[in-house]
Amino acid sequence: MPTVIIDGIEYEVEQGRNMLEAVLDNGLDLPYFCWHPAMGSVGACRLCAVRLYRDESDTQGKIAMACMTPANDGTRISIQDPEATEFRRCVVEWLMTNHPHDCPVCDEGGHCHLQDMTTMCGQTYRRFRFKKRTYTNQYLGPFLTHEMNRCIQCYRCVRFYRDLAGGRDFNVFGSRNRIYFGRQRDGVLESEFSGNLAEVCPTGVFTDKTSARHYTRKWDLRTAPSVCIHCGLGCNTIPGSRYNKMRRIEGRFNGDVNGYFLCDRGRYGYEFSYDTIRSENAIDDAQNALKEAKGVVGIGSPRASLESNYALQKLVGVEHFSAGLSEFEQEAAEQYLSVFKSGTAQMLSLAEVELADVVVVLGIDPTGEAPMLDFAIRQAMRKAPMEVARKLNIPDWDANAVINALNGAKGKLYIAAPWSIKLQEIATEAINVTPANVAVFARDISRGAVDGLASGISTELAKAKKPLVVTGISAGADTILAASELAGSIPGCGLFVTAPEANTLGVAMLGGQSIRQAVDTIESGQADTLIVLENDLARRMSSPAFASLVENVKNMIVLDCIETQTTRAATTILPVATFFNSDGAFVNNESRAQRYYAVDPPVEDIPAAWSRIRDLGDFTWAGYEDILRELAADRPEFAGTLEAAPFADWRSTANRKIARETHRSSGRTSKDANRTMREPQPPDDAQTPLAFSMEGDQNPPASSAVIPRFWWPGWNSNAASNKYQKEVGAELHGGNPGVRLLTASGSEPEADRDKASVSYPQPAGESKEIWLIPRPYIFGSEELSRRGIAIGELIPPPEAAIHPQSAQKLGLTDGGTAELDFDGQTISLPIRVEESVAVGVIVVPMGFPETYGVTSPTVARVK
Amino acid sequence: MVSILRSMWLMLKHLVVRPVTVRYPEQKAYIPPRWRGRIILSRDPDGCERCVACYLCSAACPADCISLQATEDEHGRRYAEWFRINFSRCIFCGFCEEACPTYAIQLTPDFEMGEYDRSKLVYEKEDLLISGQGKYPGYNFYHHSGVSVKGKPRGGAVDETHPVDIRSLLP
Amino acid sequence: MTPGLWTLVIGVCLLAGLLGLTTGMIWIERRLLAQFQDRLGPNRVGPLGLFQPIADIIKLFMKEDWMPPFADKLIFVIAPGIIVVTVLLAFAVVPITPFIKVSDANVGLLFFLGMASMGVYGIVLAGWASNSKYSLIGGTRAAAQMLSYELPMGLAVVSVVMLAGSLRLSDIVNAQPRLWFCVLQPLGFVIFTIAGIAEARRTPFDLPEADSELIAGYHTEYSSMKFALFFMGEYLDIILVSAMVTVLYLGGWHGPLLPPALWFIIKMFAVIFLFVWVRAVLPRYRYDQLMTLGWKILLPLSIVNLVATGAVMLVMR
Repeated sequence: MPTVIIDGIEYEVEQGRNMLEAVLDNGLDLPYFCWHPAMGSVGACRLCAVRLYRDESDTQGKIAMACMTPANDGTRISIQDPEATEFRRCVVEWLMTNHPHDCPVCDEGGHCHLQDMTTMCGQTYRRFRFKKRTYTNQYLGPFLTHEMNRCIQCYRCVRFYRDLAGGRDFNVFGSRNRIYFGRQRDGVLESEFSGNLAEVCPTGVFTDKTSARHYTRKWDLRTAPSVCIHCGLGCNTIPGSRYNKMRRIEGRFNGDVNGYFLCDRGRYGYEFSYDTIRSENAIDDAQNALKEAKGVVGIGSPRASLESNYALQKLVGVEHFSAGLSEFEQEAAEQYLSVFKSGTAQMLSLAEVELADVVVVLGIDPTGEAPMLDFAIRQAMRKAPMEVARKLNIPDWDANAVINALNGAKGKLYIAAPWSIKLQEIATEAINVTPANVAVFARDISRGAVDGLASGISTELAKAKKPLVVTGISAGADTILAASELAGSIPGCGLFVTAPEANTLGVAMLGGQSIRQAVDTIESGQADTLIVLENDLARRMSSPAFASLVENVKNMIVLDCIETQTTRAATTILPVATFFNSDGAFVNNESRAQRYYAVDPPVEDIPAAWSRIRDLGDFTWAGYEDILRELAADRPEFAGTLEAAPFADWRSTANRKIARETHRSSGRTSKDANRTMREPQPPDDAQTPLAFSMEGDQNPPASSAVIPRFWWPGWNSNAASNKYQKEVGAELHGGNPGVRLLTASGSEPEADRDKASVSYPQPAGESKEIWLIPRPYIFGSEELSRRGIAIGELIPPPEAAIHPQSAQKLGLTDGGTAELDFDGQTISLPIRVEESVAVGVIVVPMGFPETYGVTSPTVARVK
Repeated sequence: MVSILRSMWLMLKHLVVRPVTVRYPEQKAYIPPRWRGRIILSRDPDGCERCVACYLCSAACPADCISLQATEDEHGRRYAEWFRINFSRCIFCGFCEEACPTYAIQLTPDFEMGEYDRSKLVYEKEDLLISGQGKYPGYNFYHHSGVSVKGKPRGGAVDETHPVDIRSLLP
Repeated sequence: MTPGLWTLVIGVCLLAGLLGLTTGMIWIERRLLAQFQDRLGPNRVGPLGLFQPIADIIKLFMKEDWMPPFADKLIFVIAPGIIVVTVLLAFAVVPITPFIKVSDANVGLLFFLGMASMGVYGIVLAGWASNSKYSLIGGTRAAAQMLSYELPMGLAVVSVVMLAGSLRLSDIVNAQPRLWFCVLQPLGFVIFTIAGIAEARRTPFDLPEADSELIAGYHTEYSSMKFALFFMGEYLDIILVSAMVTVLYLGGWHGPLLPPALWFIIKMFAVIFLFVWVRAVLPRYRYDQLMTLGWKILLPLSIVNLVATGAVMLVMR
């Protein structure tokens, strides 16, 4: 490891770092703007100036930018050098000449990197007496506010948006001091990762528009470590609330999962928590119904926590428990588990996806289903040809030099999906085929097709250093099996399988029947009572089947936090706490068990789902951890859930809990004064090692799973995460949170070909039949986030997309209406004829009210 | 010993000194204008609320007795949706006034706010807001800030140029 | 009227007078202190604020009589009683005039010293029973303080006894019809007065209650009338010490023209005024200064005074 000398003291740094990283890695402070751990250096802001010495004898030295200086062995710099210090102060002073007098009305204030750096440089007073330059702003959609006057030209936004996120509708315009960062004209930003601009921007040019409606400063936010509920990747988040209402979500660094960033669904989906179900406490009715029941069936949910599902399984018994997945998903999830356990292929984490150089995407739409996977694949494609730059002795962090050296080179990306997914814009080759043919295509590759695209992919995969196959549960069991065969046939090939919902893999591991089987139990009269846990059955079965279930069941007890078709059909509704008001564990798509913590205590005595279920049966669990302990004892494969985070009795070395509120949190004696003068005691949190109040450790955690916020003295912005990492941009102190539950046992995957073929009913030769495929959209397909205000604005209109060839065959025209008959139900949607979908399929949005009942690729008859 | 006796003699002389006590409430004391008494929220010269709901007063408050909620009008002007001061907790330290970047929150020379019911000491925004400018006449934060609000377009603030034309190619 | 009945009447009147005077002391002290500090003091309740003590008492009665759950209940209740009872008992031997006195015991002075010593039990027990650190420290300080100042006090009065030749307080008064003992015994007078202030736990010797360091010392945990009893005890102590100074050094009821009882009251009030005056002037001693004053200055001085008195008496004879 190279040794560098900073202000006369020797420090060891990792190979291949720059001096700014070396300084930060060693816990020292040095101001910076344009450098970002995930984006590297460009030397644009000139703020990280230090004095660089040639060698020991050099007393003169020269001013150099730390971020552009490689940390070689013996590099000698001084941070505290008076001239360097004055240089940095001057740079900030220049940047501030045009910075407006906005802090009081700026949403960045209080977690502003510019504020922190200005303070750190000691620049306290504006001497510039002349006029300030101003800009007009743009409308950038419902997520971001644009305020260009505040810009300090660090170029971070455009580098993130174009280089990392692959967006093309945002750029830098103008010349000299008229540099402008924005779109060519007003409009919604196209990238699914635009929300990160608010975090990437060191000042308040881009700020969270959803939080502006009820703005709260970071120091007043009550925050807790959490996990995103809006897809199966399990990105780590920090939701913040004030006055018991959700205000904002920011990314929580996890080097194994999402890194620094979040997708817009994860960032803005929180608004669903404003529209929760309110109902009378009907626990007595539910208990009576259970007493009189002839038989009880329980349907769990992939969006409910692991312990709630397990509690329900204990209540109704394994034989009467359903994981709450549709038949298609259940089958695919089981296939995935068996592939996982077999060890045919190496199961990668999301962070490892970024290291792949050749990627094959089979049958899924990462952008719509698991957006951060889209982002990870883009990073993989960006970094894949890095060898070229390394050969020219360009370090990885030298971002602009790397871009120039690569000259547009990208990794190889191959896609086979029923419609043109967004990643296709960076794909080497892409084909649109029917879902069944995706598996066929995969097998073609693995069995070494002699010619055509498949053979080309096969060759590339064999050449690749880190090949990767990506598919998902939504692609079906057969595709997963085919993908695993493909990955297994290539040495060192990784496999990444997405899961549609936050806990899909968790409930699949718990086991149980599919919804269909559970419904059959009811309809055959073996049971007359149904308990549904946070699941909208109307989304998971066809409408006639749902109607028949509602008719046949005597008592339907529904536990949920939002109003759904299922709660409307329920005989008894038990409202439960939302995700943000309860604690629990999720198992993400790569079997990583992660714990999330309530941001706020339950409101109006609406308890968490597990405690409702406890009250329905005669259980003695005191907290959700008791359920997890019981689960781990009962099912050893879940033992990792216990290790994923510290227990409720964890205390810091000072024997304190971790404070959810900051030490600066204000209004304690006033916020409740309109109701009571008694200043209620903050609610106790016996369930977790966190306290709901400001009482407790502020900067603790030895355990990275319970970091409630990133904050450090002098570092109020999220850049404070530097201080929580072993090396900047790398693993957190105490390891990245989460424990992977599954390991390969080496058993053969269950390759039940007959069963697999069941997944894909083939359209009969009849001319009016066509594949009906649900397509996940980032905004609108996910049940919870679509209820949000901002996301609601971006839900696309419900349309059925069809290839011109098929349209002609079926006699459908663009703009007309398609009436589709399947499973005894009919949906009608406007038609959009386009070439971006495969021939022989009709693609409809998934999870829209208009398309309820379309749960999996199925065969429909066009009327 | 001598010093003790001297002090005792000095104190004894004070027995015949005229007391300085002001016999409030019959006699009113002089309260200087910068007296730290009842807190008010002032308005700018245009009659709009000065408070931009920046939360600095509530953060500065050592008794944590100020709470508020920020919101925005349709023209982007920030203001407090509600603003509450619990005067039963207030220690009249004036930190809120010091922290206020817009001269909105001010302490006034009024201290006669005793109540028999503590809950009456909780002042909401409508109790706090006055119709004048208070101690600092003439200041309008939005005339110095870069954001645009109703009546002040982009680049319309003091010491601001017109918005640049980014499509200009002139050097 | 039989002598027994007369004693009873005097006793009851004395008791009533003392309790009235105690309440009055609140007003006297507050008004005087205010005057020393160029203020007015209580002036709102009644004419000149004279009803202020009554308002205070009503307030004390209305207060919640709180018993700490951690206290030693029985002793906690008894302790304030001990203080008041011992001081009141000591008054039994104080002759106000030749006729107005309850008991003319031949060991009157000893009885006074005994009762004064008994009083400290109330304080120590209160500190102990409260089961609180401030109270206990207060109680301990009180014990040490009483011990340190009773010795010089006792030695100082021995000289008086030598001059008067009797322990009977009326004899002592009668021994100074013209020449008061404060002239013959200036040092003894000063020592007795200082020790008396310390006995009454008054500033500058109020270390047992020292609000600024011990919250309120031994009565930290007390509230309502129990707390009031402590205060009555303190004021009664002031009155008792003032009365004793009057008897021992200021010639008791002796004086020209005015009736004896009035002379006694004038002298006694002069000493009470001295108490308030000292409080207005002096800050509280540090603990080591308190001990130094007691053991290294007052005790040797009182012994010197005793020896000198003896020597002078020998020579005079």
